Amino acid sequence: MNKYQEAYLKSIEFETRRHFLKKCTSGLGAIALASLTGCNNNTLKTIDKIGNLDNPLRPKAPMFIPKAKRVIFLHMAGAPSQLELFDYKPILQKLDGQDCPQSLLEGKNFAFIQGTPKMLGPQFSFGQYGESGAWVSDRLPNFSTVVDEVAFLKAMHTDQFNHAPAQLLLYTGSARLGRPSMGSWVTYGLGTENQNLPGFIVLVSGGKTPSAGKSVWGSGFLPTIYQGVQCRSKGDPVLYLSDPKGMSRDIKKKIINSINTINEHHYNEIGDPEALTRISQYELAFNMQMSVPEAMDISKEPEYIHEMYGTEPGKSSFANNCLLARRLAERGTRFIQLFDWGWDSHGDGKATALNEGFSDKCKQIDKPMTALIKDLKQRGMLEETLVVWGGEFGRTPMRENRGGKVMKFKGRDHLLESFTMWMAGGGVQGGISYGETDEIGFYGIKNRVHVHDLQATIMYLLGMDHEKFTFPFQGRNFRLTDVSGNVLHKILK
Amino acid sequence: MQLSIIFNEISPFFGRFHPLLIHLPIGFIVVAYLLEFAGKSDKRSYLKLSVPFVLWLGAISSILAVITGYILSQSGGYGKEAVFWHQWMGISVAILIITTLLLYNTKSYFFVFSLTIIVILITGHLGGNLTHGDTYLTEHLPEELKDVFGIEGDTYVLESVSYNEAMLYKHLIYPILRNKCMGCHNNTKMKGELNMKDFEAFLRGGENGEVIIKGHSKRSDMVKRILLSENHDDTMPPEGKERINREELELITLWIDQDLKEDTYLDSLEISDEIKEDIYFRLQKKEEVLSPVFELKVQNASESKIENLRNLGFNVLPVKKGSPFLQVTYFDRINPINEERKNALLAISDQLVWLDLTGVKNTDDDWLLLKSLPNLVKLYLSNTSVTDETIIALSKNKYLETIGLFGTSTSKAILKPISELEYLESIYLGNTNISVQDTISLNLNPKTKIIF
Repeated sequence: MNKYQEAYLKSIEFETRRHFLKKCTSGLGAIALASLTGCNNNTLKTIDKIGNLDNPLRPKAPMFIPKAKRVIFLHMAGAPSQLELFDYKPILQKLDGQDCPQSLLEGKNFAFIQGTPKMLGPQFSFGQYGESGAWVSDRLPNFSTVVDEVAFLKAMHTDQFNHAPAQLLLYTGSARLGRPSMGSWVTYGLGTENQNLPGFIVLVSGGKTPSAGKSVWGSGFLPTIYQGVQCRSKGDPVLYLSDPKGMSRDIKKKIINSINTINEHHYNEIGDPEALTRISQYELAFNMQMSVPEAMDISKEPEYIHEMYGTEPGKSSFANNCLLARRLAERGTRFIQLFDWGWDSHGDGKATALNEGFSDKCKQIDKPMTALIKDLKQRGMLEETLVVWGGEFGRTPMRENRGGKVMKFKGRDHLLESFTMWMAGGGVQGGISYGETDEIGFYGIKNRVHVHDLQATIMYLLGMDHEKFTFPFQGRNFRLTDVSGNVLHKILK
Repeated sequence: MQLSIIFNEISPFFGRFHPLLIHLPIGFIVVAYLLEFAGKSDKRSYLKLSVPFVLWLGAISSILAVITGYILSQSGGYGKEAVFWHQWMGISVAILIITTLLLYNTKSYFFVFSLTIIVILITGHLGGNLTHGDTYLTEHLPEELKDVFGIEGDTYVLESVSYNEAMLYKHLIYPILRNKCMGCHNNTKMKGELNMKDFEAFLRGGENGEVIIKGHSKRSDMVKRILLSENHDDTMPPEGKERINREELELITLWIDQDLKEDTYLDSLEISDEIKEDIYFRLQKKEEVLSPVFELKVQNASESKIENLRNLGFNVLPVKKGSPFLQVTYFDRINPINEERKNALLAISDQLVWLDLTGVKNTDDDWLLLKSLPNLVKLYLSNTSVTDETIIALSKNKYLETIGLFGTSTSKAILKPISELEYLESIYLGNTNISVQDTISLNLNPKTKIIF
């Protein structure tokens, strides 16, 4: 007998009949009360249940009448430069090549900048577009035609200057691992509309998953059924989904039913919510066998749509993912998360140079993201679909000088205090610009928006009060925005 | 002389015991009444013996409660009329209970006793209203039940005004005070003897004198208290209540510093651009209205009807928690809306407000069911076989705000009837037989947008 067992036995001996009876007074009472008040008294029946158990993915009504029914989040992983895209700073152009004053650098954290860096002016020319006169650089010629649908958030800021923690903060509300991502909160709160498709789908392009890994679509302490389902845009969208050779769909259904019965027994015996997850995942996977190949097959789209998005069926690209996002939105997926890797423009190589790799990346996203907005709009879906675009932080107005030297290519370092994001549709006003940064785009000076405010606003548009929408874990109620976050009422319709 | 001063100083101390003592007579008298009833059975007839004793306790404690109550009312801070009724009902209770004792074992004893019970309940309720405000009890009653009982919700809807028409106090300050201060400082409740609802009384101030000093927001007690930290004893609104935020405080100080009248127009004041921006937002926000359909009184659809729809492949959800109004989507691209599905939809015709049938495989004559769904607000029929006939019939669905007809074979014949829809905001006509030219000469209502 080891020490642990010994301690355990001692503790059991300590529990006397009196302890038991004492606990009964409150415990049994509470159990009786629970059955009297009828908790889990659901009015929704059919899709509420899988077998005899509650369906964790059943659609749920929001707290108040929502402006948006779904979200498409376009994340430029690596953080694109706001100074080369939307935040036009002519004064920075004049300061180009000058030494950065010490006063700007004191007390600041940079990932790579050392000593005294030089200021770096905007690398591309800007123009004003649309009725709203929004500033957009010449790297996004297509996008500049839809600026009147878009609300720019010019003075975004975050707390983290490294990719992984900043991405975690943006998606889970905390820079440390373990919290559920925004999409998980949404599917937990609202369920999924289409029982044949996951409610939270992730599509990745650019060759790599984001720095924070799959945690940015993980379910944290929520049951794992709410985590994002990553679909591939090339080959089988979901691996191992199709039937193996010699196995018919009927046999498969029988197998799944038997497994689910066993899992149901297990759940009734132990009450582990992960058993429920297992059951509904089997059900969902079975349904997805039919629905996913249909939804993910973009080859059936008409030619003019391919033309519009610049899609090539069979390839893996941001363009294909944009089109897929629209198809999934049409089929009732609540949260569609796109990650496009390759925006970390430090200038430490050709691929990350502002006038080389960055410029190519702009070309890759310009047409498809514009097409996504136009396509959603013409179908009337933009009214109910919130499109969010951005990175995890911004980039410095100083040129990166890794190792204290002048680098071969032009690039910018990480900046947490100001960056630009935009939102379109789903109850957000079009053609506005909210927030301002200083003359060099180093710090927000008016209407600053923290990533928690963005989260609060997204939840609000979906009909949820971010302060009341909580999940009890380890003795306290957690929420996406934890203890902060203000809804940006001024940008809403 | 000396004694009366001491009494005047110390009497408020006793007055504060009223809310404590008041529970004794209520308890005693109700217990006496219950004992009377329980004693009716032979088995427990001994209980009857205690009734006079408990009644005596009730009588003594009710007299004490009346005295302390009178002292408390002298300290002020309560609406005169509300106190009047509570006071006289309270005195009646004391008299009634003594009468009950005097009439013990006579014929009318039981009648007077029952009357006492009724009066004591009413007195207690009035007293509760005095301390907590008269909406306290019903505040969290579900809206539906409020309608049943005819209790009016405490929502305050302001008529929308433009910047030029807006008054600083009436349109900006009053709504803030109403939401965050007047719960305790109103005609009946007057905490600290301050009544903010009545403008004259508000300017007069409370027990410590004026709370606002014209031209000196920093010296005004009200602003000082707002600025105190949340856990300070003297802070306002008190701990646990919703705070006055920075923007609201800016408006309040502006009002104190420059204006302090009830009816000054914004136009005549000097206001910084930043505050102006906030004011524009506040005024414009009032204009946001939900579809009038949500003001209709509609029963909840029965569970069996909803279950039936779900079994037929529809996704059915209330638009928000607890709302009778339903949103319905149908993702099935293979099975059309057949007779059975049509009937299932018609069964919830009153509740159905958002309907999304994008891509549904149907032939045209099935679509006429739509005109029998009078409360539709959003309707999506993109990529369906819907034809002009159906859409023209929709001109009677007066609440429609959004119609999605992308990828349908509709023609310009629908434009005229559709333009009669009063609330129509957007109609989507991409990939139809309608061109931009067709819509140019159309006399649409200004709210409507045509999107190609």
